[in-house]
Amino acid sequence: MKVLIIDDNESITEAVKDFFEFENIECKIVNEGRLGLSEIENQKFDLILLDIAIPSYTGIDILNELKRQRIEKQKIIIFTASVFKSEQIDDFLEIGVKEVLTKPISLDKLEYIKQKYLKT
Amino acid sequence: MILIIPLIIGSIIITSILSLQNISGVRAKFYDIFELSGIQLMNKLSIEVNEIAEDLSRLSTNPILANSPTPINYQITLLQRQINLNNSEYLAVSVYDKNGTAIIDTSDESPGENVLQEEFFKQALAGEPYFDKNPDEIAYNQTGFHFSAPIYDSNKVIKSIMDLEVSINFINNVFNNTLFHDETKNSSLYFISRLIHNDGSVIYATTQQNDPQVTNGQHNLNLPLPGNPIADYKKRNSQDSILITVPESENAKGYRSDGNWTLLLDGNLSTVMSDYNNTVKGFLISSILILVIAVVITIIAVRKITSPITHLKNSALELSKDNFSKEIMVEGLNEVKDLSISLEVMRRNIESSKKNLIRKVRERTRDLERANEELRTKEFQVNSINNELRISNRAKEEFLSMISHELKTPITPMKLYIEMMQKGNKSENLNEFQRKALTIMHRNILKLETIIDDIFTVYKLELNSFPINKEITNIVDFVENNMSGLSPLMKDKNIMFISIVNATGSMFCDPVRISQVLFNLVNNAVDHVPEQGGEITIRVDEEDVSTSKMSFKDNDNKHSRSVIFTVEDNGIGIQPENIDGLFKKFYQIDTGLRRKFGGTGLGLAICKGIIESHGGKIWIDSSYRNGASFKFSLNSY
Repeated sequence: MKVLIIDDNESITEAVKDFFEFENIECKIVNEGRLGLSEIENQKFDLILLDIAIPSYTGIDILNELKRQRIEKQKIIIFTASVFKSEQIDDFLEIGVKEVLTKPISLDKLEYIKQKYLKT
Repeated sequence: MILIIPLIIGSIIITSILSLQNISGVRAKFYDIFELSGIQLMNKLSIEVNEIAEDLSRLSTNPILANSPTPINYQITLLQRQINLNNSEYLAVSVYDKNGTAIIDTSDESPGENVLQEEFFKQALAGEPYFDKNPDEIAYNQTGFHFSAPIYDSNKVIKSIMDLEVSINFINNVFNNTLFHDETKNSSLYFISRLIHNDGSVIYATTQQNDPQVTNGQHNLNLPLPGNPIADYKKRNSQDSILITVPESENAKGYRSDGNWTLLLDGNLSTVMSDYNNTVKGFLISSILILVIAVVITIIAVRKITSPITHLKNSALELSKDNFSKEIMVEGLNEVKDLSISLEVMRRNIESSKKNLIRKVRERTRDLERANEELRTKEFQVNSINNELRISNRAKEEFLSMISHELKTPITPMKLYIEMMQKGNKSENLNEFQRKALTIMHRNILKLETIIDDIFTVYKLELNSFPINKEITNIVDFVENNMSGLSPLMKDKNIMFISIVNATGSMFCDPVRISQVLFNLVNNAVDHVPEQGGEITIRVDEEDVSTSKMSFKDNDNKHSRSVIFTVEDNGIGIQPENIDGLFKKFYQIDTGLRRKFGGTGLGLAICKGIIESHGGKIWIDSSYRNGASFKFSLNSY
């Protein structure tokens, strides 16, 4: 099992990584948009946690690029502080956006994700 | 007034017709008189002729002439005496033998002429007395007639012919005694009387000297004698003349003649009729005059009364059509003039007030336009200010959002790590101090989060950009969910937390926000109840809203009701002097309390904002003495 977290806040990504590693789930951290995209292009993750508000190359840019490249059937959870409209999810269903969760990331939300998407 | 005019005209016409009928009646009367006189005249004439015929008969049968061989001289003397005895009109008597040679002639004129070819001789020779009705030149160069008769001898054989020459004066004598005599022409009746032979020649005329057509008895009068005189003379009648024909009466018998006489009476009625005509004319003229006067009066009446009134009517009509500009000037009778003047005064008043009105309206319009212009400027200014405000609001909102996010972001990893450390198996490795530190850190992080959220919420409420998503919410379920959600707060102080729901059905609200309100109120209560024996009650009551308070929005509610939520505690309560400022931002009763009870002082302000966004009310029940009692109302559904 391998999770990818893309968020510019290093403390958050570190905390998330620790959470998953305590649960014996491998977690890859990326703190920059373009790097995140290339990670997705290069390997297959069991789950991708994607922050929308990343400076310079945003989560939306990544999603659009994935759509353009027809890299589909991923498992992506979007985290956003602002309201993300349901129509916007519809645009990225094919890529594999499963759910939109509001920030801040909490332990409860991580537990919920683990239970729902990472059960062996 | 106008009705009288046709009456006058009608009566004039009727009287005219009646008088004209009378004129023809007068004419008929005249005619009857003249015809009767004419018939009498002709009768007289016949009597005269008959007398002459009798004289002739007596002479011709005189035995002296017929039988006895009396000497001629004696015979002449006899005849002359006879003529003188009978009638002076007998000019002469002649006796002719069968050869036409005169035997005896009383006129002493030479009887050398042979009368064999004369009509009177030939007729008498045929054996009957004869009257030659065409006048001829007879003895003494006079005009007269031949009366001839055969003289028989004792053997009843014609021996000789006797000729009695009668002057035309005998007709004159007859006429002289009648209406138609010359001398009567000075009177008002003037007649030309002519005796006409049926061959057309005029035998006698009463006014020969005045008649250009007749200079002597022989002149032909080109008046054709009618075959049917009665029918014809009527046609000849004119207004001033009467033409009457009277044929010779038929009792003149005992002799033959060469025709018949007819009396032609040609009467000039002009003198008779003129008086009458003058009367009629005068009458007619006066009728016409009256008629003309009537017409003139009518015209004047129309001019003086009707026309001014019509003029006035038209003027009034103009006024009724809102046309006040035309001056009203009507000349006429006093009353009409007075009316006209009143109308004119009225028109001027109306016109001037209309002008005033128009001027005022114009002024007002100008003022209004100016005011409008100002308003537009103001509106523009307001709009631009509004726009600026909106932009600034949005900027504020964005700024707040950014601040909130930026403040919360560092908290996230802190909170994550603390929670991870506190969690299950990992916490086992911690000592008492570490565990305490983590608990305090965690509690403060949560408080910090609440403060950030509250600040954000209260400002959003103030900017009116706080989203409220109303839905139909079951009251019982809602209270139940909140009770279980709020229970953890009671753990630390072991507070008795109960709910009393006296309402059923639903309410229309944003359950998340109302939960937030309940959380704030309950959280406050938790802070204020005593450490031991704390009690917090959530009560829900239904309340009828009196109809006078009903708004239109609530009309679809068959029974408009509101739901009252009450959060009561047995804490220290609120002093009445502190109630007023309680719902203000950052308000706390005193600094000491703040230290004791914590809190941002934003909770109640948020509650107020949320409840008011729902159209409800929030207040403190000051009558509650056991602690604090917060109440808010919502519309039930």
